[in-house]
Amino acid sequence: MRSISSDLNCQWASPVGVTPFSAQGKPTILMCPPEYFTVKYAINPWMEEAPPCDEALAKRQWENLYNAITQQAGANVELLKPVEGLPDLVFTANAALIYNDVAVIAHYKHQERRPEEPYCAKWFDQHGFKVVTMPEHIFFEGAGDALIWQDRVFAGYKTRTDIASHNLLTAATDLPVLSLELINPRFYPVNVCLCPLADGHLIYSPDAFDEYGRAVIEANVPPDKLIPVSAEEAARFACNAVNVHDTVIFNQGSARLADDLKARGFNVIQVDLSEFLKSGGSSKCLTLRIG
Amino acid sequence: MSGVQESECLSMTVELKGHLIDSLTLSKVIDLVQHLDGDYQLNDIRVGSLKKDISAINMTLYAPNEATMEQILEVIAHYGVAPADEHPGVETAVCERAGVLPDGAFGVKLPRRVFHQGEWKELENGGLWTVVLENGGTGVRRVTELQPGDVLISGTQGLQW
Repeated sequence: MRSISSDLNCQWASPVGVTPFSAQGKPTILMCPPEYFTVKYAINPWMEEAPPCDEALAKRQWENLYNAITQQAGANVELLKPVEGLPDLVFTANAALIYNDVAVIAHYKHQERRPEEPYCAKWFDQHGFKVVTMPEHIFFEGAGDALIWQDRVFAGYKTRTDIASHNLLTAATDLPVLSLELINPRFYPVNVCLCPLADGHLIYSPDAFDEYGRAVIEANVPPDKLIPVSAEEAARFACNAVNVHDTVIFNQGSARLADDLKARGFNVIQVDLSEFLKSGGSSKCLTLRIG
Repeated sequence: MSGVQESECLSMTVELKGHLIDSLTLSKVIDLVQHLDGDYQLNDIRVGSLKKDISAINMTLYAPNEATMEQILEVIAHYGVAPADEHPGVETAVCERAGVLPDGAFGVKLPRRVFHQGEWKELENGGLWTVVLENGGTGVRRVTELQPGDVLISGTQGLQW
């Protein structure tokens, strides 16, 4: 098995550019402990069908993910202080899109998550980012719906994010934004069905996109870098993966993707995140790359 | 284009901005309009010159009745299509050479001859026309009659059909 890191050192530049955390010298990820995490409302199909959440188990699962990221993958983790009454604050991926020193703050379609917006904006401001906010009438779900791949952004829309936000992302980051319509209500936002990896690889679930979206993805990503995931494994949140260096971390139960990634030289870690799946999120949703 | 716009029908001018070409958004919108029994005419296309630049489209939608137009507008609103600004600021260009349309200035070409009763006949008002701003007002003028210094409308922003 070849080592990706030794072959392609040039590809290890941070996908989020040079941020206020870049000086730390290693990848930095924002996480929020699940002190107040639970499933207390239903704003997606996963929540509507969810059995009761085991909060104690969720805390152990979150710690396992934290340990995998810090101890096995070698990233630094910054912690966002949890807030009582904001159970979904744990999903830091949704907080903002980060690129260089800019943080484009989420503006949630669902009222339940709106109180997170000023709280996260303040955190990014206090940590050296230039904070950009969306107009009141335009919804945007942060890095949940906008993923940087190479020199461009794959951005989802229609379920949680308005396509109008994509023009503002370009204005804020100077990056071209490729708009992908999400057609399956279970695969929202785009980080549940698409995941950029190091070395230009891209995991995606073809069933989550229409023919236009699939054509856009296939036109941009070389065939040998494109990693399609079955609908079954996508439903296990296989695409909702965290990538640090050559390590890819995702929920357990996606053996085919694990084998595919190992064959490509990635180090795969699968963590049980069953309690967070009840809320419609997994490893990627629980993290936000900030440096 | 189908025959919808040629018959009695409703029309509305709309705008769309974004990475419309790379994202196939323009293709999708056009396909949807036609699928919903409407039609369209592209009035102005400004394609971003750099990869990061967004493109902008101004187009007129046609529908055979009000219900169809409403349905079309409701569906394509999800793709960022919005009614064109009803009071847009026009952009202008200045004529530099007599009888020559400046780059980007609006022009519409009418046929110069018609084949009738076995022969080609000259049309009195045929040829290329443009829109001018003059004496605090507006008007249309044949391009061959333009003089240096004439102020013209550039593009299609601020024009309605």
